[in-house]
Amino acid sequence: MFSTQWSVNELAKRQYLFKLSTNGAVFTTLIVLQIIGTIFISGAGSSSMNEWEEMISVNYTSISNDSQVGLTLFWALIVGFLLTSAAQRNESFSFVTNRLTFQLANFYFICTAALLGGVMTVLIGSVMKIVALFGDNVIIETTGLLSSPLDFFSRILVMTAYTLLIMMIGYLLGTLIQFSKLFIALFGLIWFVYFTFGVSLSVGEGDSVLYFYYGETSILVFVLKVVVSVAVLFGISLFVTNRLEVRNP
Amino acid sequence: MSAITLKNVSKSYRSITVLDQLNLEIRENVITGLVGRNGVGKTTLMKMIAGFIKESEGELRVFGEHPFNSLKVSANMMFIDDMMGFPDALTLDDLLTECDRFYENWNQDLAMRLLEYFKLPLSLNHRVLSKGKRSTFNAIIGIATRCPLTMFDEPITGMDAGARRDFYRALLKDYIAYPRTILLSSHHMEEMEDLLEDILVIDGKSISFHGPITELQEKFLSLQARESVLKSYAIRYAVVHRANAGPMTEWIVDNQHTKAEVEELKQAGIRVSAVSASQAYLAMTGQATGGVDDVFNAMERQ
Amino acid sequence: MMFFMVLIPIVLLLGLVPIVIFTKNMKRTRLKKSFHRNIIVGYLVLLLLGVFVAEFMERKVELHIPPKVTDKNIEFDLQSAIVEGATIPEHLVLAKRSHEVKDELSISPFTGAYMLIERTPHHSNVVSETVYTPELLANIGDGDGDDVYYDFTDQLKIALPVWENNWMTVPKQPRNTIQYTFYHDSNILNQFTGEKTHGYSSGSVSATMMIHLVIPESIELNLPEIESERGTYIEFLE
Repeated sequence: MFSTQWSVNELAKRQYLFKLSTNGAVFTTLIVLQIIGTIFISGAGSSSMNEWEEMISVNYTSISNDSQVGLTLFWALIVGFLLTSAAQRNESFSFVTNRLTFQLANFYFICTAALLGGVMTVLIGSVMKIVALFGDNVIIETTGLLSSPLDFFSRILVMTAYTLLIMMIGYLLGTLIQFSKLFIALFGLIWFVYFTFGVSLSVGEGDSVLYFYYGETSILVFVLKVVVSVAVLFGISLFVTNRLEVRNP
Repeated sequence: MSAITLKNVSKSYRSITVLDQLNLEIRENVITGLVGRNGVGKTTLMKMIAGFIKESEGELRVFGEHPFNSLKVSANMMFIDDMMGFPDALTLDDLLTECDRFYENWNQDLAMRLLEYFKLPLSLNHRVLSKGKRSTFNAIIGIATRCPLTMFDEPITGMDAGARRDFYRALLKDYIAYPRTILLSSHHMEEMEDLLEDILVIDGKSISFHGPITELQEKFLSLQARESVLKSYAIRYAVVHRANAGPMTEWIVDNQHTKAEVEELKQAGIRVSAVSASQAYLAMTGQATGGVDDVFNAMERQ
Repeated sequence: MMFFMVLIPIVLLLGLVPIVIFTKNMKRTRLKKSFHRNIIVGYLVLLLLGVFVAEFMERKVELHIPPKVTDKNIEFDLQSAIVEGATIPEHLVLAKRSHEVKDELSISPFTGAYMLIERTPHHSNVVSETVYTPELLANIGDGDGDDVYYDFTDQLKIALPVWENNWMTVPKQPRNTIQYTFYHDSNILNQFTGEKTHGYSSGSVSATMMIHLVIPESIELNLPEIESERGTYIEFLE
């Protein structure tokens, strides 16, 4: 007879801890990417020269953490995608789980990864700032942690939100493709249709999907939008995966 | 009380039916051997019981629960096969810790001692183990989790003879100390014979025998004598297997004899004996009649 | 558009492949889980350290940051202010000098300056000269109208006109190379900080050195050819 009874919460938590201990490489990869971004991409900056009557020339170097932001978002998409791999599933199903706890554990893991991604990306801005501070005539357009802590934390929030969103998109794409390879063709088609018709339709930036998030000026509404989007994305993944057969080569 | 109940359970992938209309009850705290030829659906049946895959039709219950998506079944069930996915990032030691995290009856001490006995260093990674060592590690996990339902699918793949013997011995000892329902599938019936109480033979998408191992043995008789003697006395019985060993010929026949008939055979100088379970199994699944030799014999005749 | 439609997936895939391979390899290498934990914690500690170092350095550098100028100050029209006799901000005045000239003033051809000459009906041999500074403003903004300018005027090296024996020469201006480094966080991060949209375009606004001479009628002028190829800009005020 049964000797063990788990609650969904307890098991999701344990699966999440298991995921954390097996997927450390996910974070190490982000760190390596950020370091690469710092050394090879942002270090170059952008320099331009304006001359006026050959007597005044202006050289400027613009430094920012744009490349790290881009790399982090890219990383997020891939991590979301990789989490749906058969290997990840089989690892989880080697131990106690069902599809719900497996998904919840993945979701917790994604939240953790997004938070860490957000924090690291904002913090590395300070490293870039230090790089900039060694230049001449430094102009800092970004306030620091001590001078305006609220802005600092709002940056972390925004970056975490975008990372989370993109990770969930990658996760859903991966889930759908795991469900049926036909989705690859479908996504290709959507891409094609979007670029042939979609772009010409949405002229103003107000129409685009990106602007739905990026154009938001109220932090509360923004958070609400992201939370609802993430819930919808996760809901679809949950629905699709709930009938998935595992360890079935 | 039965641990596993199947009522008209079928499993098909698209148009291919793997298991057809199974009816089965597996008794609690019994070691059942699951045998059958390649591709008859042994693994499919076990994965269905484990809740990894979903039955297409029928009613499947494990300890009264429907296993697909059941946390209860998952927590009280261990399924061991050679495809078990363990994360590359973890060492054997880490994996034991994870088992401890997930399985309430997990016995760390037993696992450690067994690993030591089988010379599996804790610092190794699961991926770098040889096939036999990997199977051994998985089997140890299966024993030490002490789940109320433990299933081994081909657990001895790649193990050497010594390891196989030790594994069966360890399983039996731990089973006696902590009885539980065990399902064991293997092609090496002769090696696990001593361990099994019940046997479940799957043949051609359905169950051809399920019951105590002695019952399987009683279905057949082994007759040994000179071929001419056998031909004159035993020709009326359904012969499932013929074998020549020196001057003597052995026929395995269906055991449908009355006592008098057996006496008559003995009078004629035929040695009548019981068959081993593996012989019975081979006879039953048709692996005994001629076999692949027939293919080549037929080709030569042409 | 077609071009991008094909190019973007290819670029994405090219980027994707190494990262996927790298991640998979990272997983495969037999690094203990504590290795990753240590890396993550170490990295976070380093980053936090970076935050405080940046904060500290920023405070030290802040004093040297060039002053900010808003759009309105840039639209100040120096020439019309001189013509109309309006008040001119003091920081624009570089030098105010008087020179004694006998009968005739000769001016050599020059470049890199703009000269305004005003004649007065007096009898005098004193020429008053006002030199207005050239300006250099670095423009950082997206051209949306709320641009931010940084004033680098103070850093310009300027050579004042030389007066010698009834000759005025505007020397060739020294070369000025202004170097500036500019840091801003990615715009994505600044959605709610109000620091958005700075720093994607950058340029400079500059004004030439202007020399305003007030010369009495009694002094005869010997000017170079006005607006010749050599770029001498002289204008007479009515």
